[in-house]
Amino acid sequence: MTSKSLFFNLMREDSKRRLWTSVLTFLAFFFSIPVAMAMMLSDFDLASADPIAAARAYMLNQVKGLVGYNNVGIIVFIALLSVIMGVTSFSYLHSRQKVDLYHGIPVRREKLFLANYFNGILIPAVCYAVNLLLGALIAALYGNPIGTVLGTGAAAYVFFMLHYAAMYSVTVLAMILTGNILIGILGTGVLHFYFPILIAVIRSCYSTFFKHSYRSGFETFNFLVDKCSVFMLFVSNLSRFNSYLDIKSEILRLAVVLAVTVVITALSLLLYKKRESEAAGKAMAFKLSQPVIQIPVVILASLGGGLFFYSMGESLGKAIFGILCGMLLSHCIIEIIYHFEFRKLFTHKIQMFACAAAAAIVLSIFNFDLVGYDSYIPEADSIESVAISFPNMDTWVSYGSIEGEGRNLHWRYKDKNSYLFENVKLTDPEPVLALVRTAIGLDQEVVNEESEPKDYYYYFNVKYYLKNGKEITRSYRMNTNTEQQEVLDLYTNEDYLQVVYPLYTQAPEDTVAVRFKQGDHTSMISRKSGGTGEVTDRLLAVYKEEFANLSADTMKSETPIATIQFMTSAQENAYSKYLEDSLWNYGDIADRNFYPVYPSFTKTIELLRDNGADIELQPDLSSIVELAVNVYQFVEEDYSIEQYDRVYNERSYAHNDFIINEEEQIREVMASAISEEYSDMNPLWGYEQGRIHLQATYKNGSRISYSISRSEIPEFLWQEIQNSNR
Amino acid sequence: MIKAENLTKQFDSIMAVDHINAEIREGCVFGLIGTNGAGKSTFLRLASGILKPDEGRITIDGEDIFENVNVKRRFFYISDDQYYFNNATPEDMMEYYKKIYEGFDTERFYKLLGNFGLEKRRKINTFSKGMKKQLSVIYGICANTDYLFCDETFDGLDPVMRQAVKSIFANDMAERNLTPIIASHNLRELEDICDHVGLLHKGGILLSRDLDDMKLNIHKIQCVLSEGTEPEELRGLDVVKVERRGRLCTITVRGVRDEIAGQLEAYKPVFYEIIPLSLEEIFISETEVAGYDIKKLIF
Repeated sequence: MTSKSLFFNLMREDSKRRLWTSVLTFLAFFFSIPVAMAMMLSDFDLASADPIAAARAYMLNQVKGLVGYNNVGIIVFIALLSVIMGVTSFSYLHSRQKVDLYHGIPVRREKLFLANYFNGILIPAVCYAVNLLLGALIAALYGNPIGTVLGTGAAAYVFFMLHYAAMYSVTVLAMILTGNILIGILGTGVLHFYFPILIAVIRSCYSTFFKHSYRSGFETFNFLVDKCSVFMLFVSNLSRFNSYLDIKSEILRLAVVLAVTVVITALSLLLYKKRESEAAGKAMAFKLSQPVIQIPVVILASLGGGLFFYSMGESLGKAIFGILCGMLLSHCIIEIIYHFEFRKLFTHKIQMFACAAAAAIVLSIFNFDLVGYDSYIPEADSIESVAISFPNMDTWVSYGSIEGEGRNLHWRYKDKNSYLFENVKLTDPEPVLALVRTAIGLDQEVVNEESEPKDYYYYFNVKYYLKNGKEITRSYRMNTNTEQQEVLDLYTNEDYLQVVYPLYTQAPEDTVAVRFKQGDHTSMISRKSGGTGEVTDRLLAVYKEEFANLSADTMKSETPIATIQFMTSAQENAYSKYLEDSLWNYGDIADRNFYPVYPSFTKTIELLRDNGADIELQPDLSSIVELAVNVYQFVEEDYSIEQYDRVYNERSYAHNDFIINEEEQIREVMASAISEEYSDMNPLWGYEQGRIHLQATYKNGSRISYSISRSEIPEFLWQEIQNSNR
Repeated sequence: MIKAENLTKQFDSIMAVDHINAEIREGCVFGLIGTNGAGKSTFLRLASGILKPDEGRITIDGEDIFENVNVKRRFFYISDDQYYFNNATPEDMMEYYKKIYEGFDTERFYKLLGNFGLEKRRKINTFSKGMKKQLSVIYGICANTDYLFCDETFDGLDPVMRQAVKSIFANDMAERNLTPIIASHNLRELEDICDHVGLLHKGGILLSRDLDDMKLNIHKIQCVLSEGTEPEELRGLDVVKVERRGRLCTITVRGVRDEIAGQLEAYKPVFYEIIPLSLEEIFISETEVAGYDIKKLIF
């Protein structure tokens, strides 16, 4: 018998023995694709759809979702099958009886390994392909283009099968490393989840112990998380492929998955050949792998236990108790599993205590900041440049770009901090360092006072680019009561502003239209395609000039009254498409980056008015029908807990609004009211905590949120609200 | 020829096979006897390439067995608890073995299956222990290999089936020089089939001899010696053991029958009779000489 035919014979015989897994796999895909497709399409009523083209496009989109990356059934089954098939492919290794048969026959072990291994991939591959074809045929019966459906399905097929192979290889590796099915499954869990959990615990340590860690090291850990576990790689790739990844990146990512699969499979084959037949029935097949798995797990459990109990009361005693609990539980359970005997639970005591000590050292590093993480401020002369970002300021600016084609056109979001860190390069670090010193000093004061005063804070993140090439990121907070000249200065620093506000660098040739928005009303002021290119250019020039000249003093005394948008050609294109076909992604692109118009932008306002904009510098009080004030805003400040509970329990939610509809009273309240939407656009607006929020309803039905300072609440409102609360 | 040289296998702290040296010639039946845990199964698993020796080597015609497909094609291993696929029928398993062993004799398989009264399409998991043993022997025989390793195969077979299997072995030995290697803890079971016997104890081999050699070279004399003659004074006889019941002595002696008779007659005994030893008795004598109490080892 030739070697090749023996290989296929082995595969065929293995398939016969795993008939139940083939049936299970087929059913899983059958219900996930053809059945789901038939159910979904039978609900479509194209006959009454108007316009029919849009309905067809929507249907095709849904079909593509079902055969593509969005099919939850496939996602779940791919993950589950990788474990089931991995276990069934190599469960014989865990039975002496079966090992005697398989290893006693004249077949080389690698051939046996490869036959079983590939069968575990072939079964789902065939079942998936057959059901994908069935699904595509059903879709075609409903008038969907089969080529498009199959194209999407084939791309998803390659994606899912590659990830399946990678996850399946992990299960195979776990089965080879262990000698018992249950422990093999647990081992698969360890291989998939140990490092993600470790990363989560270390992240928690950052957020629990360090005041100045930037997003608890989120960037670093996020970078690592899909590189430390095949399952997390699957989750990460799924999310990326769903969010319109370009083809090159897709191919690269799939190549990485393939490479990971090959490496794990090669390792599994090597270990399979090294594995002794007598390992069947033991917990771990290799003596060396026992401590290799046990020590990291016990350290992690001790660390997690310590962190968990510490977070319950921020006490070192509780942390030590947690470490001991984690250590004992994990060590004893693993020892029992390794020996299949309860009495062996305290075997390797020295190793157990060494693991706990390692966890204690790690927690100490965080708790006592032994590496000086929190107090770190680089020397000014060691800094090449510095970037700063205020995450809660200018949240209305969108960073990113337009990507995709056709109906897949979408806004590729870019995180603000990442964008600013990449682009802000302040070569004079002193102002930022001064701000950082103040923030660190403030935190130390709070620590020394033991209990934190009821102050309010804003946060800022700093990235230091050091001359030695290192990049260090920290996050700080600053008391809102402390006015920092350094912050005010930043808002007149052109290097900083050019990055924060992309409009600064937007050229006239990139600007094709201008839209104006006040309240609920949005109007197109000028459009190059509509013959008003000159107005567009003039508005851009005037606005940019006034925006650039906006002083910190003006920003402290004014809040915007309206917004203006300078549309790029891509935005205008999306806007036009949105008018034809209300896809959310078109609207999302079209509505980004409206800039604030301050009352002092007189030239802009004049030009807008000249071109038809109906701008009101003050709200038109005569058109306000009523003001609604939620009374609970007063409760928290002015009532005891008992009173609060009484009020809370006695009132239904519907009755929580106090309504003002007297014209004079409306005028009195609105005299000091500012629009919430627009005040949020002013980064230097001295936001006062505890402002009272209210909602104005206009005659045209629009509703606008305003706020007033507590100190400016009219007397009648105080009286009325206090009366209504009693 | 199968040759074990210094063969050693240890499971954690247990020495299962301890520096064994043995030779198994082709065309004879080799019996491997010993108590439970003596190392019989481990020896067979080493011989069939399932286990890898820790030390030493085990070869067939000079070639190592472990991971050597060409050598492994020359034997069929029947384990003490043979595995059959879930829900498989004799026919299903036959299909599997047919793909593995090129010389598998399908015709003979069906014939033997009929002879043993086993249904080809009945699920094996509904078979009795003895039926499964019979089936394993059928697969082993039909695989047409040079060697057949049987681990406790006769255990569970009724006397009729045992005889039937023995006759099949005898037939195949005569026809195609089959070499069965049979491990058992029951010495009596092997007596009428083995040509050569190896006794394992605590992982080591106590002795390994041809049964004929042993039978021809050791005898039991029942005699009444002349007045004043003690068995210990019988010079020229290689006395292994002496038992007395009054004047009746039972003396176990090494040597061929005629020489023993000649030596004994020189002392003019009142009466004597030379009786052949059973395999059991031979083993008792041999192992006692080696310093072991065989009754504790085997029975």
